Amino acid sequence: MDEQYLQMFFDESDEYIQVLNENILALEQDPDDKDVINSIFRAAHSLKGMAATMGFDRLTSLTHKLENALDKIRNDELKLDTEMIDSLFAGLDLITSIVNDIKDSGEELTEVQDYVDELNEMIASHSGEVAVDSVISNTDNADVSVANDVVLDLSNDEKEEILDNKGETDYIYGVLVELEEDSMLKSVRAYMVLKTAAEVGYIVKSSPTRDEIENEDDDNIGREIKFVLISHLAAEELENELFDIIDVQDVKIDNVELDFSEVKKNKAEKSSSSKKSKSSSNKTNVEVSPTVRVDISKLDTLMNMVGELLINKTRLEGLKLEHDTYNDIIGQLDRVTMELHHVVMQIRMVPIGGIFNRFPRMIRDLSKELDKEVDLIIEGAETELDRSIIDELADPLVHLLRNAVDHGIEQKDVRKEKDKPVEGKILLKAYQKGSEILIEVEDDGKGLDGDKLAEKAIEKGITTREDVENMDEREKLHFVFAPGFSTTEEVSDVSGRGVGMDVVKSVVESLDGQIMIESEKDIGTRFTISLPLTLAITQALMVKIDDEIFAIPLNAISETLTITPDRLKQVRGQDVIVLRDKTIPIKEAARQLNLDVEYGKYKELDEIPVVIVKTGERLVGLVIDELLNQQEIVIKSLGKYLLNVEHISGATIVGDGDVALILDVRNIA
Amino acid sequence: MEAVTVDEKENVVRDDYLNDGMHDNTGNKDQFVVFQLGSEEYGVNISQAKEIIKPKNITNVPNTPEHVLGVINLRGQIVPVVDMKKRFSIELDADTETDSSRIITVEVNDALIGIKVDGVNEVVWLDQDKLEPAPEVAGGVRQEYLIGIGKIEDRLLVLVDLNKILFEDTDEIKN
Amino acid sequence: MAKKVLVVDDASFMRMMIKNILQGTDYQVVAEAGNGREAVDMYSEHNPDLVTMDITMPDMDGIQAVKKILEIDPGANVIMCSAMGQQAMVIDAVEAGAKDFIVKPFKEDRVIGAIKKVFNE
Repeated sequence: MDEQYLQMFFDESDEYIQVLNENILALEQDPDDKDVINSIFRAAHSLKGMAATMGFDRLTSLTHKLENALDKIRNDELKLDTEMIDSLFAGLDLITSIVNDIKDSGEELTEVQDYVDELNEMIASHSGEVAVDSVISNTDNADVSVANDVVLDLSNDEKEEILDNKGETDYIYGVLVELEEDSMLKSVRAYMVLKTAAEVGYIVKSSPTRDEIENEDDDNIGREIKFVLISHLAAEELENELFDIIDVQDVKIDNVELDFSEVKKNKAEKSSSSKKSKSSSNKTNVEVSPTVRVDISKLDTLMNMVGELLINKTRLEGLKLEHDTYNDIIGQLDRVTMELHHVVMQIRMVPIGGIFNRFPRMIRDLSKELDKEVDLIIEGAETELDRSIIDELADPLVHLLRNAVDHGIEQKDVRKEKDKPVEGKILLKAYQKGSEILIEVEDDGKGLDGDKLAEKAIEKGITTREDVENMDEREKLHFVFAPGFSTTEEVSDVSGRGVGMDVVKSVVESLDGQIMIESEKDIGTRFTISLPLTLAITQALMVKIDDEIFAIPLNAISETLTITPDRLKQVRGQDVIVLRDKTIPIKEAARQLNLDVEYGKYKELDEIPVVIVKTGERLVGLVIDELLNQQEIVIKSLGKYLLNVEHISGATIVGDGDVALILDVRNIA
Repeated sequence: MEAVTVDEKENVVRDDYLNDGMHDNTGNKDQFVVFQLGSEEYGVNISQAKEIIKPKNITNVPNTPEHVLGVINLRGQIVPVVDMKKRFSIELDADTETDSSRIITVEVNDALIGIKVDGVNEVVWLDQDKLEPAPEVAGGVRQEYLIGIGKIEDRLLVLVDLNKILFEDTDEIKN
Repeated sequence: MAKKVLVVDDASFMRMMIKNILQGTDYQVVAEAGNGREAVDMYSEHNPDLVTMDITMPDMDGIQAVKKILEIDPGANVIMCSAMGQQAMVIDAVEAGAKDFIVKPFKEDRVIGAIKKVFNE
């Protein structure tokens, strides 16, 4: 099948699978929620339609079976207990599996017959009826055939819609309009066809839909427009109206006969149903928002171009020409580039909820497996992140969450003994703070013991007892991130081998972020990941070190200050200062960078410029030669050849065209 | 054979060798950019060479090997610069920056890198089939890093494999 | 009786093309305009039977002009002249009340065909 359609099929399938996942979960919580059932039904129905269009028979038949079951459920013919829900989930997993098969190999490989048999049994046992494969009457879709060429399925919902909108003297037509082959701007013609039809009747459904016409590329709109129309016009009159439109080559109109008795019965049953239907205001029904799919590479190009624009704007400003209109122009340029930057940044921003939404299901499955009770609370799913960051975060977050369930939350009886609620809580929270995004994974489990971790680290040779003596609790906790800390014996099958905490840390750092731990025995543990808001453009402090200009990203800086030499104290041979009750080690930037200068000369100055930076678990004061200014910089990669230079994360181009290196302060001390 | 010079804009010119009416279509010919380090002449395949620029402000990058001089800004792109003499550890008047020093930007292994040389002489055509095998060491460079030796009249060009030279470990390259 | 036509396009070359196509037909070009604002002025002044309207123009685009003209005269006949790739804007124009559209580059028979349809001929 055409590559382009395949990709669209995958994108949309993934979305529907997601909707199904969330909604079945919601259904588990409240089996009576009709809106949720309907959402599930619609999603399955849409999936079936897509699968059928693409020719994936197994998927079509599977979704069809599920659709039937769902229809029974929403007509209150099927009991919804845990078994049934599990069965729905199993069906969903099969759907996911088949879609993945197609993604990987282009073929449907997963066997579905066993499941279908089970599902049939399940239906039989849960409803007292004999489940029949070919379903009759009201679960059948009315096939509207138009001139025997075209078939438009009508779902029960749509049949109800017709019922609601059809007057006594109205006809129901299935219409096929064919445009001339060389017709230009087909989407506009299609629009005019639908517009004309809507003027003389009520369009129940159409293909393409009005939305598709307005949003799709003109190339994707074909020559055929099909729709189901309720109209008072006689067929001949309708035909004339449509032929009046330019470029219409052919019009075929069919009468539609529907069996309305069943539809009416369903309606009556539903409205007299005593079960309450929850309001759908704040439910997990995921609305597929009106969006435009954009190639990520196009966004990247756009980003680069904005970056270039910004650089040149800065260079232009640096010229400081003496001319009246010069300042005006610079001012305008400034405003426009800032706005452009802002907009492009927003386009690249995507709500983190996208990767969060798989977690409830994961936690549910995991806690069942481990026989623990866990409540996952998600906050801040709407927080937006640059899209390139989001993809990378998924695996680390999965690992942290699984860890929390596996190692954090205690068994039910243990929790009871500790006087804790039997249900453990895991809080997954994302929020923006200043120019950073923070993501927290917090559990109320057994907590981490810094001393125990330190002991283990000493055993494994990662550190020595002397070093440990100088460490505070936070630094000891950081041992979990040391490579080689968790061995395969300790990593249970649940948390997974190979994705250790050290990998989590390195992924976070590769995104220019930091990860911190806080923990208290028996109270709980919290991991906090902080990420810079954007990857490519950031605010930085420009400093001079050994006559070269360096940029330190603002999100790594705690504060800047100048100190006098007498404030320098010594603790075990290390220069420190005391800043508002905190002892902060002082290091010479030039020395940390192995630059070829004489070290220690700063002590002879009257005033020493210092930048206090955050290096993961603690603050360090870096002595530099000169504090220059704060400005926005465009982060440029050092390129493939210089991929791993210590303490340097990239470069930026400064006003005069020179290169300034960007310092990576995380491990600088 | 007719050698083609580098044009005024210092762009490496691929000459229309086969269509200039002066040469025939025999042999397996390729163009090479000839550069100078000290008194030796070297050549790199023209397909790898992008442009030739006069040395500009190089920003030193800490924690890099000695032969990496730093990076430059090439129309908005950050390009690392490698001092070829230091790479080959040629002990000839190291660090002489003369008027003829140049940086040749090359594309190797999907990376854009600048190599600093004492001078760029010309672009020549060499017949691949007529190259001489490289001796164990030539021009201060060991055999594994060489494609071969090209002969033009009485000149010997040491043809280097940039991929290996730039991307394999340092210490083994030099003599 | 000949029908009066107002041709609107910011490129004089395009206006000339339409004029040439309509030469010798029952549709007579009585006025031209180079932007949306002029188009509205010309419409009030000449009261044409038909307007051919380009979409992208400076100083008020075609869609705005269509809206304004329909305010003055709800029965106005406007045919949009669009380029490939402007479908969203043409849809907007049709939604605003334009009767039809033709796509550049113009084919004589299509232009005349569209105009005839508008007058139901």
